Amino acid sequence: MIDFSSPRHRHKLGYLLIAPALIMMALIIVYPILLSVDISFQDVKIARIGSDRKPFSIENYEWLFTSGEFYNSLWVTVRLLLFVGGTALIFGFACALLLNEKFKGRSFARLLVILPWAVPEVVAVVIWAWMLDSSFGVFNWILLTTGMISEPIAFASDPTSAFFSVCLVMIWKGYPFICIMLLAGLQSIPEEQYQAASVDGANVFQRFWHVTIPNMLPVLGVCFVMTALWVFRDFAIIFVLTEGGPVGSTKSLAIMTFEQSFQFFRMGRAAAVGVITLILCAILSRALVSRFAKSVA
Amino acid sequence: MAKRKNLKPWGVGATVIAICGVVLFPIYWMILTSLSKSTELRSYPPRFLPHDPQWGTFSELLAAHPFDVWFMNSLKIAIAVLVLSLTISVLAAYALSRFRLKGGQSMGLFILTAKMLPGTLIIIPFFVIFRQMGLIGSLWSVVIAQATMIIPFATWMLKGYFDTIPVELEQAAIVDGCSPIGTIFRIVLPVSAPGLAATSLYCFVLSWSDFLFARTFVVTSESLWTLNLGISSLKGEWITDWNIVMAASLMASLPIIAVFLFLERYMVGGLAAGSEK
Amino acid sequence: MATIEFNQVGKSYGSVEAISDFNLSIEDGEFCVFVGPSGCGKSTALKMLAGLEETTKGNILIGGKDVTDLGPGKRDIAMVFQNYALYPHYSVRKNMGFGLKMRGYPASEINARVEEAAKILELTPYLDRRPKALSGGQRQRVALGRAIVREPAAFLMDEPLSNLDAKLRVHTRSEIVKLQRRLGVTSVYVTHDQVEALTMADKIVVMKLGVIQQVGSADELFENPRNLFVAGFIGSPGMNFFRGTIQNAEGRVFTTFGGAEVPLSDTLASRAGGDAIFGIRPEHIVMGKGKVETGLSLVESLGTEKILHFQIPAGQTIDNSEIENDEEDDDRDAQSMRARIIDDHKYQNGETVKMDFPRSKIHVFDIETHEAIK
Repeated sequence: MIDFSSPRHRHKLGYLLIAPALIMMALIIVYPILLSVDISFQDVKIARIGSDRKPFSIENYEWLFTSGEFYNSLWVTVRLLLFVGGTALIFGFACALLLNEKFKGRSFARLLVILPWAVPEVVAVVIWAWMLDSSFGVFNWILLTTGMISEPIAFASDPTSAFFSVCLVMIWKGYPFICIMLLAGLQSIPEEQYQAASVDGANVFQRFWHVTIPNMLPVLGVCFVMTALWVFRDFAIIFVLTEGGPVGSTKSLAIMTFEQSFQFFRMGRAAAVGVITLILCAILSRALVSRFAKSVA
Repeated sequence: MAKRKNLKPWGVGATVIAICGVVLFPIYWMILTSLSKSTELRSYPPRFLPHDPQWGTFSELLAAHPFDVWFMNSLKIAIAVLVLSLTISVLAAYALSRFRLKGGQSMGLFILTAKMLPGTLIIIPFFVIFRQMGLIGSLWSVVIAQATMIIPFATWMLKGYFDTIPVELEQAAIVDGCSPIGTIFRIVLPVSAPGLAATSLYCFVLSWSDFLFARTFVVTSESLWTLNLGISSLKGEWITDWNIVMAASLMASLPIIAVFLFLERYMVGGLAAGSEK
Repeated sequence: MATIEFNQVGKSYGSVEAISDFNLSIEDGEFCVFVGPSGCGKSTALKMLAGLEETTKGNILIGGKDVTDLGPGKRDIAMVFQNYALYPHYSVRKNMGFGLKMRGYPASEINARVEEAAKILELTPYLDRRPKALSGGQRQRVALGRAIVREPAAFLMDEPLSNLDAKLRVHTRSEIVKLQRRLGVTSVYVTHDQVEALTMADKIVVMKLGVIQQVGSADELFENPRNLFVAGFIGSPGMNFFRGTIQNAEGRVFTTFGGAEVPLSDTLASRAGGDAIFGIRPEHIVMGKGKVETGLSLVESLGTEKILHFQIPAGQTIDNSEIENDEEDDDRDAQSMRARIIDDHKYQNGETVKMDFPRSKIHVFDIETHEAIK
């Protein structure tokens, strides 16, 4: 038995404590990733480990880059990312700014504003599916009554409407996390900076532009990346709401991966889509994180 | 100037109320619908205020669907994930926060990778591995898969929190004769209760909302369905009993909302500690 | 109770040596202070003694027993930290009793000892409060209390006063000394403040860049600093330095300050013709007589006491970097010297005054090695 309190042996305790996490991560992240890369290079329907592995082939990637389906999914994902990421970021930032004001019942308001974060995605989807119901949904009723539309919108069967209904649910689920992160960021801006700016004669908007924005840029960057990664990988919302339809209008890369692997049982192809998604996610987070990190340095 | 000072709190208050009204409307609508008769739902215009609440919807739900089984499965998974993830992440986060470890950066890499890893990709190798191990059709497959996604981020959150605790606290305890492991349990964990609360909330929310892993690994055995799997099955192709679906949704959301209301206050602080890094 | 010994102790982080050739022995019951500018290794040395940092070379003995590889809990020491490190989730009572509990003392004895210590430190009314509900001074006393209930072989204190305000610091300083005398426990105290070191210590260890510069009592360090660093570090304001040539003419050994001769000890005759650095403490300069004549550049009056600033003649100044003590004494101005005077004369800025540097009070240092020349 080693005495870990001894100064000579203490650092060994560190390795001992981190070992379970490292072993677990190696087993459930590193090995599966390697395995999926391996599967993506096999023309295989239902993959197995061991001797009956299929020969190396780049057929899956050939199929991927020649089929219009992949490009459609990529385009759907990018549109989702820009629309959801942008809107959720603006709305989340607005909420964070509001909640950073001092007013009575602020902590209660914060609780309510970020409540949708805790609602499970599937629950969020069924609520919105009901609200967006084309015959009896409350959303159509409101739009009709306020005169914004003259015909009820068929959210489930019209491709454009389906896309925006997915966006709506994603924004509703996604903005609270952004709001919490940005609120934490806002609260770490030293009050003195605002006071100094006020003394220098800056008005509310100038203070926002010259104190809040520069301080928040890195956090905003991190938030955008995290939201983008979430949109890129999210499965439940689209799958339960539209299953990628109608006519592929909401089929993101994540949905395409799932469809290939567990509906068409083409795991080789699915793994190829997934690997490409992973690479895109890696590039996205790298490019954005380093760019935002530089802008503050 | 004086006039603006008087107006400002009103403006802020009104905006907050308006925003809350908009973002909470779906939740209100869920509650309202769950208390309505199914015939009422097809009436026009829709009713916006509760009227003759139908508590029977809930018993109807329990009679028609094994909601209790779904609920218990979700709960079992959440508890297992919470225990597994917290144990591993607390130890790892403490090690990362307090020791200069040679392999320390690789943990950072895992955290980043797990944040980027598409769930729809990882289920393919998981499916292959779990089938080999005979775990398909077992809740453990869902637990392990969820832990993959949760442990890295939980470690990151906890490390951020541990970094804010002065190291002298533990040094004092060690000088007082406490063992290094004892120090973690007697000093570090009690002092970081808010950080643990925030991390637990995060684990619980993520576990409770999982759909992908359950849909992939246990969809074929109905006795293992989780709440999300069950609720998604209620949304039919043609006819949906929305009051039943909303009753199920409400009951599925209640535990998580309760945990959220209880632990939310630690969330902002916990994330703030983590995001400074 | 216990002596403490450091034998050839060294500490390195990879190739960086933080502490080297650390040799020291502390007598039983002695109050020893490690002092030096930040980064001098004083805290590291203390943490090695506590067992909180690994010792990479040599060994450490407490009460004659080699403790180099023992854990802190097995060294029979108690420590007071700069930020007090009170357990925030425990009451004062539990904070003070924690060490005894860890050592398996029965509850009744823990309670008795805690009550006793609380009485000494006037903490009795606060025993059931949490640390958060205490003032800074009270927290500091709880930290001390946590150390004394253990009745350890040695107290280790790491800048325990630096979080207190100036007035409380002076008061607590004397309280700690009284407590230490009363308990007679060997104590090692780390500070960057030379005033604390001078007022509290039986033995002062001056450190710089991981190396002991000098060990001695307050008087020894003040009167016979071994090198330029110690001379500049000890005393407030610090010693004045100027550069000059040792001359020997007609049996008189002297250097010059401006044009004026400053007589030196005859023992320096053999070094005539060489340059040296000369030091004189501000309080040793005698005003109103003597050969040195200079204009006052600034007069600071502190009531009875006055600090007079005057320029060092061109070519005789030395760089602060040569003293290597720019940080803790940042009001030092390389261009001027200071005299500390208590008399009735009203000095004016710009006034020309006569002054004398008494021969016996002049310290001479080698221009290369900065070692004192006897």
